[in-house]
Amino acid sequence: MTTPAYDVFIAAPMSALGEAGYAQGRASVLDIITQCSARGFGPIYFAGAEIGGTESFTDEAEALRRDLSALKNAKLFVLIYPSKLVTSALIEVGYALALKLPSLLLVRDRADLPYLLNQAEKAGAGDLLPRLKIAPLGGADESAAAIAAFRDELIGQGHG
Amino acid sequence: MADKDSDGMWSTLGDVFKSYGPGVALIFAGLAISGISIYRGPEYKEAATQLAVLAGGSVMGLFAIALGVVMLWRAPAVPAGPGPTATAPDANRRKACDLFIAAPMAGFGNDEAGLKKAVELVIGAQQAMERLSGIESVHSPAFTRPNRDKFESAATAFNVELDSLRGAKRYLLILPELPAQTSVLMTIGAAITLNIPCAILAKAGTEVPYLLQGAVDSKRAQVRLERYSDLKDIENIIAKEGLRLFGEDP
Repeated sequence: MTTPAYDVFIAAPMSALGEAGYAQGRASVLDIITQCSARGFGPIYFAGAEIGGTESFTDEAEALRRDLSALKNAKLFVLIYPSKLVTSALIEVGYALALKLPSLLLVRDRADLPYLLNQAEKAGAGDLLPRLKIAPLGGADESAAAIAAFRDELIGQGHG
Repeated sequence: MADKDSDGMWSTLGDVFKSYGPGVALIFAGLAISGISIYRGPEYKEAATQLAVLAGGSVMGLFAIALGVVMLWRAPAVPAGPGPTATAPDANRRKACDLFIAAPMAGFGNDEAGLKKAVELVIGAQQAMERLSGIESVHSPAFTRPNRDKFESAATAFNVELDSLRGAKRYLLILPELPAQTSVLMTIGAAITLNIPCAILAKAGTEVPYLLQGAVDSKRAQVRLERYSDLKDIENIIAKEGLRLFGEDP
């Protein structure tokens, strides 16, 4: 078994946001990553970290390969879901659940989540699912605190 | 349905009684003992007897109340019934099926016409698939939740869908359109990761999300995308391509 290379895998809407929205969304996620690093997190994977603008998107198949590889080497998965969107980040939630990666869904409004996800933390499917939690998406500091609290919960439960 | 509801109600009441009944009974008994001793104590002529009845009754009553409170505090939790907090009956269970058909459902929100159309497409695709050799058991949320009245709690649906997905040999996604809030992106993501061969039948002009297009273009993922214009077209694609849609030899 390989040692996870990433403490956190962050999925967030990217191409679905359009050019202007992408810059703003990316900046918000990078702020969260900075705050997480200050809380002792090691490497954090966010596909947008290396992509300054929508013109720099890599080809789709390569993006899929990199994402899946990073997910398989991550300790926990975080979805940043600021609003109701058709986004590839939801596909990544499916990847994470299938890989049984502990998952934290940070959402502005829980009702924005797709039907199957909005009560997923209550599903209690035993070995079918990883630990899953839904928490409010706030500012960078608040979001990083929620991620750190989730990490600490996992460590407390022996997942660390 | 009414009988089932009624049975469920009595069963839940029984569970509540088993968990909390003894504690509540002790508290009431304690209150009764204390009350009787206070009410009847003064009826005795001798002061010493009055005091003994009062003190003894009060001590016994208070002891029963305290014991009842402790029992309530330590009562076993009432087992969860079917509902938002229900757990999977058997976490190791896998519902094997030859084909899992997904389509946006709850994502249509109040668009009943959109939902109805999606259900019709799924049923049409199911019938076309079942004409193929090797497809006998088909699971689709559209069969269990054909309209909004049939939607169970999301937590229960989540269990059912993930359970079925893990046992599926193939995954077919019908995309008449892609409404926000649809769960199908999550389920196809899980299917890709579980190495379940996937086929997407998307209506011409429907935009496919970036990473899903990546899965279609990737040699690593087994995902094929076909475009259709109407149900007849879906039936024709399935009849013509058969299980090649999932990378299988005919």
